[in-house]
Amino acid sequence: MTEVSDWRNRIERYRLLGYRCTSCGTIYFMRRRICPKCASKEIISIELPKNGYIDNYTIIRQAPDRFKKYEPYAVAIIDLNNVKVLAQVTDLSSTNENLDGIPVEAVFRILYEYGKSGHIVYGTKFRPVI
Amino acid sequence: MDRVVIVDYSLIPVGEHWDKDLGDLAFEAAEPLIDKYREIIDALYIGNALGLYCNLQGNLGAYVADVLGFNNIEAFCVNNAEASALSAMYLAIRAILSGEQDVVLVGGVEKITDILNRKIIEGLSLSVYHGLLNKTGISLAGIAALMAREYIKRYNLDRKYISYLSVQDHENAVTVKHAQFRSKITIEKVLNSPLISDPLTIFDISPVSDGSAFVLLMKESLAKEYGLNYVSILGMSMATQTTCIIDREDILDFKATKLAAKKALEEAGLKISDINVFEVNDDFSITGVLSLESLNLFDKGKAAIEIANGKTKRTGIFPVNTFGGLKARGHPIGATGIYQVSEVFMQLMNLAGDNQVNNAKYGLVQNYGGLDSISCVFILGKGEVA
Amino acid sequence: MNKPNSRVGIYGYGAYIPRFVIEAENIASVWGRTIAPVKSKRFASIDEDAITMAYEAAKIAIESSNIDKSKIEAIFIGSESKPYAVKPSGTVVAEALGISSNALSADFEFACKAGTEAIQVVMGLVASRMIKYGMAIGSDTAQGRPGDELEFTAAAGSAAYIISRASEGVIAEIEASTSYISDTPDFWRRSGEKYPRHLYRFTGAPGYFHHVISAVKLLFEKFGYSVSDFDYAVFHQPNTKFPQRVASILGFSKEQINPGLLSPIIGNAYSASSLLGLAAVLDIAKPGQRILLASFGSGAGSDAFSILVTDLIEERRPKIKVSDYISKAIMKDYSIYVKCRDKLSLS
Repeated sequence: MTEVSDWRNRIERYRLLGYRCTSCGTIYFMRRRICPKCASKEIISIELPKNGYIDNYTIIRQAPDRFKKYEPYAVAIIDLNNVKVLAQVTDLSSTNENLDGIPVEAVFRILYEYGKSGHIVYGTKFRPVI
Repeated sequence: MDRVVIVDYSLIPVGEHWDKDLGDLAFEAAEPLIDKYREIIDALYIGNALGLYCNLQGNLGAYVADVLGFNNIEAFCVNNAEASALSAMYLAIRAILSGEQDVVLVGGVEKITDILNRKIIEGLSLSVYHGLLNKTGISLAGIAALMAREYIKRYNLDRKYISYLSVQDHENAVTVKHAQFRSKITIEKVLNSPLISDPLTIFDISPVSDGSAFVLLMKESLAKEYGLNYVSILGMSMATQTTCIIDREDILDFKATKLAAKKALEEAGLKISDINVFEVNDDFSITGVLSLESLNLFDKGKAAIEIANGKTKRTGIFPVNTFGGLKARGHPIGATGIYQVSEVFMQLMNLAGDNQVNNAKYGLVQNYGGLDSISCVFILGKGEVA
Repeated sequence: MNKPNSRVGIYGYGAYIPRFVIEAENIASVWGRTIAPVKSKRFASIDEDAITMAYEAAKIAIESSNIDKSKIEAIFIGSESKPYAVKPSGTVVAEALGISSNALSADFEFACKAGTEAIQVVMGLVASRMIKYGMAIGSDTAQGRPGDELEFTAAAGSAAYIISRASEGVIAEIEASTSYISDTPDFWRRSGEKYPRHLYRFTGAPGYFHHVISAVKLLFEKFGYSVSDFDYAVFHQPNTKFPQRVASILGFSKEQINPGLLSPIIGNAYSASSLLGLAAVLDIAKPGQRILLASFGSGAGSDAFSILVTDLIEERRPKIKVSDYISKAIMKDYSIYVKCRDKLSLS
């Protein structure tokens, strides 16, 4: 991404927004302008629940360029009850422990930066509940 | 009906071509076809996924037309991620069927190795919803890894079963001159290799590849006029599903492939069990498994085991990826589809040499992009059949 | 400094201590030292900084006080480890929290007292009725030069305080405050430098002790307080000994300072140091009890406050207490510490 597109999407990352079709109730992780299920354009952004469980996860050991500094890190499908989201899991004791089913809560963390003199991009990750 | 047929193919070895640029790859691959058919070619369709990202060269329809020495030809570049090549072919076929074009040269070309590995990982993730990478740092391999874990959990399988397709791919590629990797591997080697994204190891993942392949298409009646042997396109279809994998109702459901395969087989008037040779998009070992299940070749949860049992070997009942697939023959992203088609062409025309499947009459090619966000399925048949 | 002309206090508070902890012995073993000024310290993970931690503390303050976010019209963040030398931390935290754009934001710096001076400024804003609620946050991911004494103690943490007029219903009233400053070269960092420098033993008597004692004495003399008026005393805690010694000099007992003394296990959280100590005390204090808070910032200065706990404290205590953070730590060693704190790059 670029600094401009990061800025445009910042609220989505900061507050973990999802997109709910007010006609059929489906909640999407990706922003929608028209619902693929019911064709309604009445889509609103909502703040998703901040607590959930890990449904599935993987450990990224070969990260894309921007995230290289942080590897290895866990990325998980997190069940927030009304929707499943994809998010990084942080504050792990080790990347070798089994994370299936553990309760997690949302935290505000650095996602990546454009080098030492560039912008820092923040977003929502999850950590094992304290 | 006057079908569109493939009369010839040409390809270069898949690998890391440090000393060649994108134009060189396209020229080398297309040259034999240019030498023979230049005068009669009406249009050029190019499949390429990452030219803008890796090579800072856009407008590849016109650029490759330059490279191949054409003047004023109609030219298109089709970008459908990893399904670019087959998508280009799809559009070319439609153009010929509509009567707009008579003879079309279709090719794929990809020159990935101009950029470095970490940037490639980012480039590959461009085929799915960008928010997946940007909000979480996941890679394409990471998403495939989530599919693998889900598959293992859901069907209560030993993890090793996911990787037998990679082993089979390598075995098939030993005798393939154009394959990137021609060495056998064992399941133990796959399992003990470095993890890229748990549980996938480096051998569960197709390599970074440069490559280019072309086919020449025309109507059946024209091929007969010219006295050329050919393989017919009996059916073709494509479909999409959401690029945001996490929004899918079931991440193991390759809906796009399912739909495209159903329609393509219907068009060809065939059942899946009629097909003698298969090319599936195994950019990851798990996606090869899921592709086979979405083609209805095996029941859900069974494909991995059946591969391990040898059902998909060259000599098995459903030969899959007989030239090594994306894992061993290689995966030059936007060009892969034409390699797949060329390999099925060789099978149906009895040109497969050491890799020949006996009595191959019908072949199926499945080439997808963005982990089944877009999927093309072609049914090919030996000339004069149906 | 006079009392504000309307009574003000703490409407809500929140604390955040990162989970990673390293034992001082581990650091000592790397550098061949024997003396350790604390037992262990907490440090920020590779994806944390003063902004992310400020958010976490502020979020807890907002949730536990059940405040209407839209009425928060000031957000001040005090830090000496701002991620940007030029770009306000406050705007990032404000948008992440969902605080209105119709707000005043400023980043404060005064070494370790940047958080408490932000409280003083918000006190003025709310007392004057310019705003209804304001938030002051102390947040730091302090950096210690590898091999230096300060590496044992430079730690991370944050604490957020929502300040309002007492009439809004506060959990603790800030009855009075003072501030004492002078130009003192005890500890500093020039622009562009990665690590701070200090004058060793000079940081003691002319630095920490002179200013803390002066600010506290000023508070006592001006407003008529004595040691026995306080149930608790929380001081800035750069290590274990300094707060213990200043308490003893002023006449406070171990019982008065221990509940707010965290540095032995979490290290020096710089701008959050005394504010975390205050949070630990507020976690257990009873209505009617009085707390002395005295911060210290190198360069140098001290803010001293007299804080009186009210009945409302029971309703608005955060669900997660300082003691919860302390008990749920993840032990790491020096190699992970330097990786997380980016000390491996050539500076």
